[in-house]
Amino acid sequence: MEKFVVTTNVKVNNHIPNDLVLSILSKLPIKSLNRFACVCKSWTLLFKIPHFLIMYHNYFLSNNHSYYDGTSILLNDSLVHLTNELDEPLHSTLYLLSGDRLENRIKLDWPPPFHEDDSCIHILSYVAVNGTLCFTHDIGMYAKCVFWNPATDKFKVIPPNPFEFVPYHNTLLQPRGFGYDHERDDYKVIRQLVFFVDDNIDVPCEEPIYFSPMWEIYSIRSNSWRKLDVDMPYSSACDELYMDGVYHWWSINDYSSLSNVGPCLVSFDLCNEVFLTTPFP
Amino acid sequence: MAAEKSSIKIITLIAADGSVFEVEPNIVKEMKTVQSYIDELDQNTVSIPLPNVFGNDLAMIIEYCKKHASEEETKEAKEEFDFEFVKRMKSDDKLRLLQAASYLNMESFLQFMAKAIAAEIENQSVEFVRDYFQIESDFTPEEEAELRKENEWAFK
Repeated sequence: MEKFVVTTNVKVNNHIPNDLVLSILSKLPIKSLNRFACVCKSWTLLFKIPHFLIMYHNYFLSNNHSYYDGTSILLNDSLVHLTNELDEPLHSTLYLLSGDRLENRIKLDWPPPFHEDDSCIHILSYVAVNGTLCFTHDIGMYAKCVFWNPATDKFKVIPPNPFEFVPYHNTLLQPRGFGYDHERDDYKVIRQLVFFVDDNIDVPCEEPIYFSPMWEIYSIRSNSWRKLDVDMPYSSACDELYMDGVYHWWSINDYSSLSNVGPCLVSFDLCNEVFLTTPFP
Repeated sequence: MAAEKSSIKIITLIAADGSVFEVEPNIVKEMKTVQSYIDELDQNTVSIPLPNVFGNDLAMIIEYCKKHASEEETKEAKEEFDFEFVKRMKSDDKLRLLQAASYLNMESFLQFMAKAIAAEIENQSVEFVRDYFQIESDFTPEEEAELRKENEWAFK
């Protein structure tokens, strides 16, 4: 048998190699990580390390047994006027509720693109995907669409699409769903464009041209909108749910779809960019 | 040796301080570093030096592996064991065991220790964490004050 020399003078000290530190930090809640950004310079850059982001993401997904453990809730308080006294501007306020009984309430500032106009802000899909939210204005012809990560306070304004602007028409932008494509590590938004002839302009032709409503999809990787070749039923109702890369909504009375499927549940898969409908029972 | 090839019965692990542990092959399966060493040998008894792991730590790791390799133990019993296992450790123990897990290439034990350490520091102050990992701040006081202000919500 071989003989081994056993060295006893190797000192195991407390200095932890970087990869082990990352492995510990990836198991911390976002609040602790934000606080520990003040530990040293390299720790402020954690969320810029792709390897760390993947570790953090994987751990979060594999341990998310309970949706309520250590969870905080975002409360979006939108003021809605029921009367016509519209002198007062409408404000939306965002609160972060945390604690076992959600007793801690912190008011959050909207990201800068909404500082001028914080009326009727809507959280698309009512969901945070890997910590990222997508905000839009609920109403308005040119609804602004902004990604925001409240933990890192980074935001991104989604650029407009040249398709939005059709001569002699007003375009109603209806942002529908926001979600994550895990195959391409991409964040996507779908919306529908509806075109109305602008009555205030003299259209230089006898019969106004009719443009049928159009679906399009935004991907953060390409940073652009792309037309979706689908005829999906739309619904303005708020019954919607995003889960595991698929965005679902009730379509009860859809007037814009040509297929006229009737009341149904529409499910759009953000990875494959296909939809399916499930009729009401 | 009369026994057949590749039928190792007992593996001897020698810790940094010279203490010797005799374990069954299924116990070291989780220790990839040890396992790959065994796989390359054509012997039925093996003795492996682990110069980066102390005897006390190795004893604990073996205890953990025995519990988790056992098929008789229920999931609940293992969880209960994990809880008590971490409870009796000091901070230094956890950090040493984490490094030992890394050296022995024990993925699930490493994750387990990392989680235990994360749980310990989760609600602690910045100063505590610096002390814990022996990290010197490389911020100027102004920079640090600014950063604390930016992340104010995380200090509440």
